[in-house]
Amino acid sequence: VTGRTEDLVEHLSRRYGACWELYEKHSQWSESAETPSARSETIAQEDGIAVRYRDRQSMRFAAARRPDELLRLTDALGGIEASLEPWPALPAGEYPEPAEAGPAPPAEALFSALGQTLARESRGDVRLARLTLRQGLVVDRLRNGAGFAGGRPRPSATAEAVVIGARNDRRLSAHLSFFAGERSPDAIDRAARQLVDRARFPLDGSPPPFSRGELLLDPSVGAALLAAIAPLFVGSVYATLLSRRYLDRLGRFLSSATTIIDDPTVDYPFDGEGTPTRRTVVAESGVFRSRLHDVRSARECGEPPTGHSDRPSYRVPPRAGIGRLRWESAAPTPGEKLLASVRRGLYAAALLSPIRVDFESDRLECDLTGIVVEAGRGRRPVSATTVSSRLSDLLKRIVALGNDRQWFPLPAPIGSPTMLIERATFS
Amino acid sequence: VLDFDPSLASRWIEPFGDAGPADFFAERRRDFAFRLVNGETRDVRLAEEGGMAARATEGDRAVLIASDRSDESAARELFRELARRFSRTNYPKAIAPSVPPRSADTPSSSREFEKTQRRLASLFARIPPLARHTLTIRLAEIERLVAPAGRPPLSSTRRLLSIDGILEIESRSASERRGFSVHLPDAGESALEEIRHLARAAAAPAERPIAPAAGETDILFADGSAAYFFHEALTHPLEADAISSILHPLAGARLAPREIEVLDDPLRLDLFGGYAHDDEGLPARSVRLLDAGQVGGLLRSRAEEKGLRLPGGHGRRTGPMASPRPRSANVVVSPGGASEDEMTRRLKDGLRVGCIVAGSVDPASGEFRLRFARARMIRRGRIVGEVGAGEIAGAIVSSLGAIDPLVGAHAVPCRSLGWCGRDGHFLPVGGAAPLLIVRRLAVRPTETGAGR
Repeated sequence: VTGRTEDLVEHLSRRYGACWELYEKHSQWSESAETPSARSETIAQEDGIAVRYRDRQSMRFAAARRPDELLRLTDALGGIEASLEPWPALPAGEYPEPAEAGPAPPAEALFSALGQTLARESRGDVRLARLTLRQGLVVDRLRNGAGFAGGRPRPSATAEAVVIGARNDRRLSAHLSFFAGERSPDAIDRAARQLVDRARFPLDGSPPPFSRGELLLDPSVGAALLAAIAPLFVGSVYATLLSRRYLDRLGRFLSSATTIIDDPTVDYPFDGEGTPTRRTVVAESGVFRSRLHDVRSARECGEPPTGHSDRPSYRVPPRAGIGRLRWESAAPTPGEKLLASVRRGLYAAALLSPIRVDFESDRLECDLTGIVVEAGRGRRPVSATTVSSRLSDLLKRIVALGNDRQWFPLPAPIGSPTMLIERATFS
Repeated sequence: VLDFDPSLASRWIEPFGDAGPADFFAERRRDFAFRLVNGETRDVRLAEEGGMAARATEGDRAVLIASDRSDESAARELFRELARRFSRTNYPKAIAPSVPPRSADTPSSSREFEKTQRRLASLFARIPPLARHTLTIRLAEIERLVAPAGRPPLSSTRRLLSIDGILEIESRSASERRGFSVHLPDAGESALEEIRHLARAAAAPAERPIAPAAGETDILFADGSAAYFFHEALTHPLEADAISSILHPLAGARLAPREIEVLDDPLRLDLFGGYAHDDEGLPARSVRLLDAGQVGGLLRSRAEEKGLRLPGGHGRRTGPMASPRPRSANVVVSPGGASEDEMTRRLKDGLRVGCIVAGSVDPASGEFRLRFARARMIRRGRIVGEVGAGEIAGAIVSSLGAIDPLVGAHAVPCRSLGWCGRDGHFLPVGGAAPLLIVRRLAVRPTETGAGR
């Protein structure tokens, strides 16, 4: 086998029959990091090729930079004894590769624009310490022994800001990741407001004056909640547990105000294994409808694949993942109305650490900062509080969703509006 | 690592060195991984990757050009692009793209992978009273070459073995899930013996734990876990690029008792974070972080030199696609002279924490958190029971001041310290520490992650 992919395809067909899948990834990206005193640029180009195949009745995976290297690795894996596993039914079909979309437009002067907005919003208490912009284009190409051939270009532009908040002799840092493709001044204002909240409330606030109340989640916190609970309905790992512990007799695991939908069709036509993407309703008005599957987890659960095979890198095998996931409501409420409806509770402006969930023991914990809300009005900042709850209870207490959905790179896009949860416990 | 003579890259990078740090870096890496589920090997995978990067700095501007290739033609392209970015003309001539040469076969590595897989599968099958296990095992072989401007190229190879997962222990009352995380800089005979010892300890029968009481508690860090404490409370805040770190203005201040000596020592190659030279081609250098209780030096890469000729030795990269940044390697705490009994009596009342499973710090606020899955409760100098998962929180300055001057006699490696992530970049780190007591840390029970 030479360095040509065609030769490799021929070789794989001869050696493994139809039980192989070849994935190629071409990526080009640039990253610019800016601080008040220095800036750095990275320009990189990376190609990789990976094969998943069935040899000696077990699944194997190898990844390399070139076809000839890849073949050498499959030889190296030949002596490993592994458990028997059937080959999944991979999709067939042809998807001509569309013309490569260019990378997202460069975000010139975002550092100064964000820095100025932060200074204005915080009256000088919060300063931008570092902004990292990453933009590029990934082209995936996929073939398999069942006859699939297709390519998909995916441009992206994300940013990560680090700010320092200062009050008297106290300081702290706060981070925010956001999509940098949005050029509207609104997007910068919104990022700046979220960063100011993250950096200022812990410095200005005091502990919450009550231990129970309503909880109004900022869209960034709602998105993090959805990312944290996603393993419950992605793939096969928690399939049995979801049915056993989280679904009631009517199949409900969320409140009736809540729907969860995953729809990556706007981003790419097929997933990391070639299954066509589609809109999948995970839960509708609180009732569980469908898991998100790749072909392997679908086979394990005896369900059809849903087009949710994720390939975060060419170096690791595909796995079930989210595409473009969002909270939705049949009757969204304007954010101001949600705030006005809170009698006594907290507005959770930001997380102070990642949400911790233990699906087996049905527990959720998260550390938040925000504002005390009484009689529909924000009163004073809360430095930090821990919300601790049975996860199954918390999901059924989501009583309303706003109409102000925002998208966050976590790292797949997750969309969330403001969310209202009743009877939360703070400590 | 490269498909061409590295002295060519040394020659090409040299002219860029007159304006600031400049280097050429190349890597080849093999990652062998599999899952071990109740004795069965699943999801076997082998990935080989590599690449190279040329970096130059001028004033406050740094540029890194990276490629996944390792041939001469691609290297010339890197330097041409670098020269274009800095408006230079001394770039190497373009040559016709060469046919990629076939990489040398490495049958010894293949056999090594097979041997490691067989031995580990057999090892976990023989740990009583281990009923079930789900483990991800990863063996990484990393070869690197660095050619700093004006210096000869240097190369190195590291083998890193990581095991992460859950052990399920059957007892008469119920089954219990316990986290298991071990990171070793080798996969040889002695490493496997150490894994066997750690797995037996992790699976040992223990009383059913109760939740730790919330409030201020004195902590005895055991089994090397004090290294994890210092990794969060000291090394991250002393990284030279830590933004607004609370410790940067406190260099020379005595914050801990005189008896406490803490080094960041990359030269300890028996620990997970060791290396002989850093990823900028400077010799590894141990840095005193706490010298007789006083805050010592910063961990630096060449980016912080700014013409001051400050010592580096801690410039580390996750791979060719990332710029070097100042990062810690191995936290090593100097031993004292106290025995385990003396330390337990000295603690009097508190918790003995043997394994930290996760940690974080905000260098700006100086607050850190450490999570444990299990600990032992000590009352009047005796172990009286087991407690379950909890979180330790503290402020760096006050916690360093609350370290007890009596220190254990033997430093042992902290094998739960492994891949440390900062800003999305993961690097191997390690540590070793003796028994150490820190007074008045805030402890609270956590209801999630009891298994880890």
